[in-house]
Amino acid sequence: MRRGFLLSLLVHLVLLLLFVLNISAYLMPEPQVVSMQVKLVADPNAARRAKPHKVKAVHTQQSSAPKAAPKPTPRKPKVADANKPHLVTAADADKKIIQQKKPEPKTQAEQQKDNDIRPPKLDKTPNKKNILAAKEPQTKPEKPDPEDFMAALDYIDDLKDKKSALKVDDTATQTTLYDTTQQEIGTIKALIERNWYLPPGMADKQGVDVTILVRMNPDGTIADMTIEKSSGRQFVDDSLLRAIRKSVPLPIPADKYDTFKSIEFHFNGDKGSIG
Amino acid sequence: MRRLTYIMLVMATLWAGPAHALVRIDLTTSNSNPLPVAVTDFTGDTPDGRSMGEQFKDVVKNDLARSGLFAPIDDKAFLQSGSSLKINGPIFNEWRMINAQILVSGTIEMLDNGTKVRAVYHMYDVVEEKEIAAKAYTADVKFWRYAAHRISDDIYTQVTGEGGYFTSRIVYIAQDKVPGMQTLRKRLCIMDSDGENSQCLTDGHALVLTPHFSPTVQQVVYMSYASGKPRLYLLDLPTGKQEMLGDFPGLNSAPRFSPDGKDVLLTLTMGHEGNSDIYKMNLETHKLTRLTYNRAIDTSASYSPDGKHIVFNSDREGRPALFIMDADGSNKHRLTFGAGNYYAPVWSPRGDLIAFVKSVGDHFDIGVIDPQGQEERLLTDSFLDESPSWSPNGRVIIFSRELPNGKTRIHTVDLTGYNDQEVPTPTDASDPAWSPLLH
Repeated sequence: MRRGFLLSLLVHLVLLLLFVLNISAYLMPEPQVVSMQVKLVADPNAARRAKPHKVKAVHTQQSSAPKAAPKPTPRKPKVADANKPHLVTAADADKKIIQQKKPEPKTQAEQQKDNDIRPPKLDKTPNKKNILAAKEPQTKPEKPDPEDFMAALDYIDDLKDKKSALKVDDTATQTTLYDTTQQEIGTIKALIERNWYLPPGMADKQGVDVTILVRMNPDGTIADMTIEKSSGRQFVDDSLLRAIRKSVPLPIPADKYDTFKSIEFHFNGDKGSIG
Repeated sequence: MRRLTYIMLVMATLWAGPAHALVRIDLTTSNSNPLPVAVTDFTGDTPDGRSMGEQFKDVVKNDLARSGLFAPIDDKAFLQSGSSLKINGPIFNEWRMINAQILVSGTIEMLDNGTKVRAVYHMYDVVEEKEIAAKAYTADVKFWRYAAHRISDDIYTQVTGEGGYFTSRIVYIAQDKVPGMQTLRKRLCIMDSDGENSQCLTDGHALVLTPHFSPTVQQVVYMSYASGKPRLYLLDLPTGKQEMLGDFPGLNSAPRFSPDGKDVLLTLTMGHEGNSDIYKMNLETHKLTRLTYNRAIDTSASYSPDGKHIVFNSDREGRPALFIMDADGSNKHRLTFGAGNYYAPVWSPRGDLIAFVKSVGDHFDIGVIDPQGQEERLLTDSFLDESPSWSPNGRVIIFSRELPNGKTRIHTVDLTGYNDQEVPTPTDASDPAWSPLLH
């Protein structure tokens, strides 16, 4: 009797807790929810007001402060400090405002894809993002998605997929990407590749294997970059760091910040071709 | 108890909330366009220093542009002035606005009553906002170009991770018409890698051909008809002394140094009824070692950079093709199987490629192939391209190009087949050969 009572009490307590904690917040995809709120109460000036970077802009000037007189002694180049916080410059800040003022494009390709992929939820062909990136995005104002519930289910499926994918190997990592972010990923990829200058005809370019982890700020600037796996050739590491920094602010929709909080850029000479 | 654990587990799972995503982006290509670079005047305190500083800038810009890997930005686009740069250091924002990725600035000081020049350069990564290199070079004023090329090499290495090739020299055969001579006058000449400082070492009374530098750049080996017969000579550059490398009957040709400079490979026809074979001569003892014994024509031997293998040209299996053997003449095997004829192989100092001349139809073009015989490709498509020679870093091939109108000029091309450039010479020129780096 007592055991039954205790069990019942526990179950009720748990249920109560779940209500207090608002389960739906955990079942719904957080990025999407944020997205709708942003859209509905968007204040175009909020970003401008919230921008705390004026002080940092001065920092740039400091960094370019008198370099002292020419150094008479030969010196070695400094080792790249990957952990150096990004210096937000006036130009960056300007670009950022422009970036945020733009109405967020919802592409036909993306919507078409949304329709196509349900019920088979995840297309695992590796070239898909390239194909998507190649399509010219047609901008139209975003409408609230009536299929949010389906999206939530997809999201959960994706999470499951991701968990199993993480245990497998590199080739399966494509499945970690949410369908709805493929477009953004394609855009970022193309941007970095365009800014990544490497000399053609590099020796042993098949041997290049480099991974850089970038932690993003919500405004598309870089919080910090870490070389997770060096190519073993400093000029390659440097050139990729430069390419990422040159691409700032990365075109990340504000409502997908959670997804793009950490980005791992990776190049392997066996799978791609550089130089 | 077990149930309690289970419930707690469920709750813990719920507490964890949505997992954090890590987006992974696999890059598959890069931009192979030239890197935008800003090179400013090297500022000086005296009028001499200032004009020297402008010349430094011109040489560095020209080197970088000719390499095909850099796109120097026009000075007129610069936002930050030279004086501001000198006082304040770079305002990176202004250099980013003109799309520079690398900024090079410098100063010039004239020393010892203007007989010496001291150049200091600073190289900045404009995007990452940091100085990536700085160095000073002091040189005799008449060798100021040498110091400027050193700076170009430093910049090149910093960006490409490979050794430079600007501080090097090119030996070649200058050809011109002079009154009283029926044939073209051919002289042995040496110039800087950018075609400047050309200087001829022979007077042109005898035909000279196929010069090559020793690894120390102190000697040149070449073929000459100075004695009336085709013989090989060794020219010591510091003393100007010439020495005949043996007087073997028949044709003595195709000389080339070994990587350690102790031996010279050569082709001799002695005693085989005019059939040519490859020999090695030790320069100290003048001892001759025969490496090929075939009845076919074997010629144009070139060492691999490690000195362990030799690539050569032979028609032993029909058409002229390329073969590789060990340095002692053993283990000969065929390298090229394509249609057409292959000539004049030369092994890259990087070791990864062999350049050659290939004739298909009425064309002679420059091509490369790897030492395993894979990935053969032609780099040029012209009328008559010949005499390929590698830059010290194995990235660029210099060759002579004869046009249908009879003009012969020296060109360079990247191993990618892009960036075909003429090297300016005062007269027609052929048989170019690159020296090692002069650092």
